[in-house]
Amino acid sequence: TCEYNYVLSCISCEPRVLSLQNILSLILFLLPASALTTGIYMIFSTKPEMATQEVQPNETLTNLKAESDTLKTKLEDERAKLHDVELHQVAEKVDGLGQFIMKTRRTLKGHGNKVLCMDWCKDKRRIVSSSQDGKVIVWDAFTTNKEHAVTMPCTWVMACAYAPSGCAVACGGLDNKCSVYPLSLDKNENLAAKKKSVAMHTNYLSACSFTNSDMQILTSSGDGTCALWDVESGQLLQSFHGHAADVLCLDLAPSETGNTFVSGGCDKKANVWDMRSGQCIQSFETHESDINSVRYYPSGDAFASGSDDATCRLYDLRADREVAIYSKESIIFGASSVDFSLSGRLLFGGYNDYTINVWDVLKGTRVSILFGHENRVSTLRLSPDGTAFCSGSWDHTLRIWA
Amino acid sequence: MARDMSDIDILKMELEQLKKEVSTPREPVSKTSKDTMDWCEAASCTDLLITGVPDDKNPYKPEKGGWKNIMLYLHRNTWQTYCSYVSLFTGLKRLKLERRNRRDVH
Repeated sequence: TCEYNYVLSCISCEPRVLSLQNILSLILFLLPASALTTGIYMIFSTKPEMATQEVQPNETLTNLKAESDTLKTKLEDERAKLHDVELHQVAEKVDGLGQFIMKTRRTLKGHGNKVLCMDWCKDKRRIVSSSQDGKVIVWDAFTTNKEHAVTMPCTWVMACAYAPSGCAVACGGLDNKCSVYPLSLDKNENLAAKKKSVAMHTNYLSACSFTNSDMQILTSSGDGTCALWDVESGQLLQSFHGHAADVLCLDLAPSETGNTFVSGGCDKKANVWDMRSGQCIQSFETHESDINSVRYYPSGDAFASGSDDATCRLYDLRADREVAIYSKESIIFGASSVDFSLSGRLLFGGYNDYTINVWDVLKGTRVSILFGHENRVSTLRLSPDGTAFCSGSWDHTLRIWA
Repeated sequence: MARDMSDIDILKMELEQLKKEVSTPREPVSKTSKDTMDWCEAASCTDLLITGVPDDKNPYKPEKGGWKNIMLYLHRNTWQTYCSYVSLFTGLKRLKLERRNRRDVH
């Protein structure tokens, strides 16, 4: 009551010396009042907000789904408008390919477990391959000699790549990072000592590739992102978000000035990205299962993809749609890897039924089947000069076909 | 990171992407297919898998068993073959000595 009197006397304009004691008592009186009023305000303001928050999630989910469905149908209509002819109809006047005979010319034995990935060196002679037991081996394809061998600290090395200069290899897998090993001419040197960790992801590394120089690496990972790294500093230069599930494969556009790449993932989508801006330029979703492998057409205007739904499909980038499907009723196992021949006339697909099917890209027919592997074919790459291609398999061997 | 995203975030991302894609420029399939076909025909002469490579020019053609490959194999394994011959020779010599000793004993 005495405080109340104080306040009244302060408010009434009686001249009064505001001593420190008076000010303190004034503040003490006002404090609980202000606390009470703010408390009442908060209670009244949050309740209606919380009520709308509970209703919001369901509404926005259905709204978003409906909006994305309408956009998808609109996109399909736009694409279908320009679908006036099929590729094999246009290619009817092209000569058919003659008898196609390819045999295993070399078998590279030495891996202790499933071969998961391989890459050619630009000198058309050396091959790097990685396997489930953590070993990365550099071979000479002409003589089948092993030149270097590195043991990675992790198993399931799912990605390996040769540097354009031929002086380094990059590999990665379940350790969630991409390591670069510089190769030296001295065979006795311990390569593992010079290892450099470049990329760091939050899930397994599924594919890696050097860009046109030794200095940058593009990686894709099970965490759904792709990333561009600087090898020297290990810095992240650009990251690419857009896949809704694991990204399994990637391929860079063939031209020297090209700065796009395509990636395929477990969300059945193949996305084309611009490396400088990090934006997804085009997206294709016609596969019915995970996309295991993507490869650009040599001209750079199209790309092919191989998937677990046992089909390979050709997508044209300028027409923005799928233009050909390579499938047969007798093929029920998924395609794990695809590659084009130098002219793009032939598409080689390695399948999980231990065979390699060779397709005529323009006519859409199968040219030949290659038997030889004793387990599923996991990786397939054409040599840089186009004279042969190498396939790696879960039967612990790599075969060179010519 | 895609695994950490909620369904709403994934849908929002897809929606933004679709909005961008609806307005991308497109060309008719007849034109692009023809361009692809022309490019392929033009490049066919450089494609060694289609035109074929004469056996003496192809580094992979000499198969295991071809005389070139036997020479390579021998060259690579000279030391090995030398050692094996040496061991064979010494083994035979030892056998001879043993037989002689046995005969002497008898």
